[in-house]
Amino acid sequence: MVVKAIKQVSIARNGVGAFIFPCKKITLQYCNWGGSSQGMRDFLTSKRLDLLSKKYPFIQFEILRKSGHPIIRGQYNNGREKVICVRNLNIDNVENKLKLLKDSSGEVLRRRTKNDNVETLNSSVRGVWSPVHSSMRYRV
Amino acid sequence: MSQISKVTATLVSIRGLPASGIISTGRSTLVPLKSRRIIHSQCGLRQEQSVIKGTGNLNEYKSYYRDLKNTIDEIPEEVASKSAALVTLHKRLSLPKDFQLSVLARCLTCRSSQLPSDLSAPRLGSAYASTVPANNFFDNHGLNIFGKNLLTYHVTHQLMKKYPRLPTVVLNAAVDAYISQDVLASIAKSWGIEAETTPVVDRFLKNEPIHVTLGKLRFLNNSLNKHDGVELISSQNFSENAAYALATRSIVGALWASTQDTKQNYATKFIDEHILSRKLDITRMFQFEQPTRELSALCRREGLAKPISKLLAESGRLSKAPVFIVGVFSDSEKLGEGYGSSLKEAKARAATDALMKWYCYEPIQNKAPVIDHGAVIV
Amino acid sequence: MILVTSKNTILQTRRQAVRLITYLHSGARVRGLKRDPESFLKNPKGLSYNALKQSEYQDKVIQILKLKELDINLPNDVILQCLTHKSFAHGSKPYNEKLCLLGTQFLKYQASIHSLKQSDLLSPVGEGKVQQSIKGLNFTNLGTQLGKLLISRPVTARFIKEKNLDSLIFWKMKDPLRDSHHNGETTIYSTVLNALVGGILATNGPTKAIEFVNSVLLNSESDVSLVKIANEHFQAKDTQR
Repeated sequence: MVVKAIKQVSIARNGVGAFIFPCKKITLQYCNWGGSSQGMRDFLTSKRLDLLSKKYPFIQFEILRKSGHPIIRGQYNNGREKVICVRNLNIDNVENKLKLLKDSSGEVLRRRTKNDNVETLNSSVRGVWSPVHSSMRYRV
Repeated sequence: MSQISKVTATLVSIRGLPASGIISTGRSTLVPLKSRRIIHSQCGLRQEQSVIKGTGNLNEYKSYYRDLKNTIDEIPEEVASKSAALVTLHKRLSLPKDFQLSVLARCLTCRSSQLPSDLSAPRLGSAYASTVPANNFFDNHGLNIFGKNLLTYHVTHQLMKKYPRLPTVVLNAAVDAYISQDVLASIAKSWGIEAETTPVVDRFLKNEPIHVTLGKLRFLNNSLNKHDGVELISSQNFSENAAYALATRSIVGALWASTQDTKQNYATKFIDEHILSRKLDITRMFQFEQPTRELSALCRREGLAKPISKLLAESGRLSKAPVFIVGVFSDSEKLGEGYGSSLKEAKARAATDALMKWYCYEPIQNKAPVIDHGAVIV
Repeated sequence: MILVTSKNTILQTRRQAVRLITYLHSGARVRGLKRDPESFLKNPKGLSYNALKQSEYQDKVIQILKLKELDINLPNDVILQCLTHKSFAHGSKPYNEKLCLLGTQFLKYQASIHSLKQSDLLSPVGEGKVQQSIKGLNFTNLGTQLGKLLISRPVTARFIKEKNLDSLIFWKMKDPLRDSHHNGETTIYSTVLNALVGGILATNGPTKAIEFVNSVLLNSESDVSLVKIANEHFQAKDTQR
């Protein structure tokens, strides 16, 4: 056999075919006694969580009672988790933090430098300029 | 702090009893240093207490165990629907309603995960006795076989449709790039499937309801903890990745089974969306040994004129960094073009380019199918 | 500086030499002599590749496999390709390797559906246990011995033999003096059946291919079918034990 195969692995592109929501589980941890959990307790007793869980049936919500400051913990399909402490936040801020976790992809946040805005698996549409293929010949 | 030590102490005592048959080596490494000290100091006291308490706990444990076993042997729909992880997984994959939750739970039960059937005659490592294959259980063995058949067929068929002229080795490698065990395992992980890693005893001590485990992937080491340092060496593949791949294949197989009367092509569409949508650059899978020779053999077979390489452009022939552009022609037809820092290199690259254009040919869609004559043999 | 060589220079520097061959050797192999294609383009039964007649070859295949009845239109060159193994004429003629690959996968898939839909249980049931089926499909039937035997090489090769297609296959024996087992006859024959399935699938689409597999290959009522041959093999194995 003259031609041989080099082993390759296909790369996942979430959203090209099917889209799997990256956030799989959100744990809401509150304390029944502490004052810092007041906002969280308000949030849990209101209808907001019900509405959210109906809107996002693919996220598993877990409520955990544990002493200490209230925490929201998001777990993602890539195996990472993100935790936000919501002590002394009011009900709206708690919900915003929850939505922040929900919308996150679970990747580590990183600052992009000036010309690092595009990240793609595809090759450039325009191609690379070549002096020998251009119609105009450059001579030194 | 004291709570942790209490739990661990009872745990040790139960593990010491023959029924569980699990070796508890190195368990204490899991517990933080401070609480470990407490266990040591209180060890004698707690041991006595737990022996007295032991028999009652043991019976409770046994009944918990039996319930678990019965549930996993035949998962009722109402128990499965209580499992939050199962329901969310179902929704996340947007599976149809015909795909029952109990079937989804079945997809997550690997044959290697069967719990010891003989509770009254414990042996050392009896948690492993489960691995003896049994025929009539509610596991994903058959689903996995069917899912694998469906996946290989569909992926091969689609690839052959897209690239009809791929050589067999490359075609096989491409199929593998889509549905090899590791890829399928990573797909299962990206679906948010989690493996069950807590031992049954721990779950019993935590009073965990049985339906919680239904949403997790159950395979061989579900009753032994990773940190125990005990590993079973077997000819069969029981690794974590193998179990995840089993789950992916089974879900595909079960999806076909649940939708084949109502929505015919649902399962193949699912494969297209989740697996064939992945990125694979087929041109990077070729390795030619003698491209020029192969190209001339190809031209002979296809009745084309002999391929001739011609220098198209060059720069700095006598310099440190020369560049040559060579094209390979058959008659007046240009087959390919390549660059290189020597004439030989450029020629080989040109031949490779021409071969690549032949092998990676993609026909226009909705045209008559192309039946390839087979790769060139030199 | 970049020089672009003009068309003129290409013509000047490259002139192709053409070698004309007048003598083609036949008979015993002599190193350096080109062989006469007539002498090696023959299958083990003596059928010549270049002198095939449609009425004797393709029509025969179509009739044996009942392709007319199923309204399957398989082009002549595809039939010939399906019946040509890679070993024939050093792969210079179209060969069936990839069609076989596709056919094998498809046949495996269809055979597993066939086993799934079987009402009788192929694997023994323990006491007090019920095999759980999904929508009437019994998934515990898969992976059993009989299920695997259905598309195994010996069974598919027997099918080709009993249908008398073996004399039409183009392949090259490893060593014509040794027996068929040494030459791998079984493998060659089974690739041909798989390639035929693959060819039908590639040219006529899955619906026709499913029809073909179910009515010709997996039909237990016809005289020669994989199901029947597999059952015979299975019983022969059982009596051996």
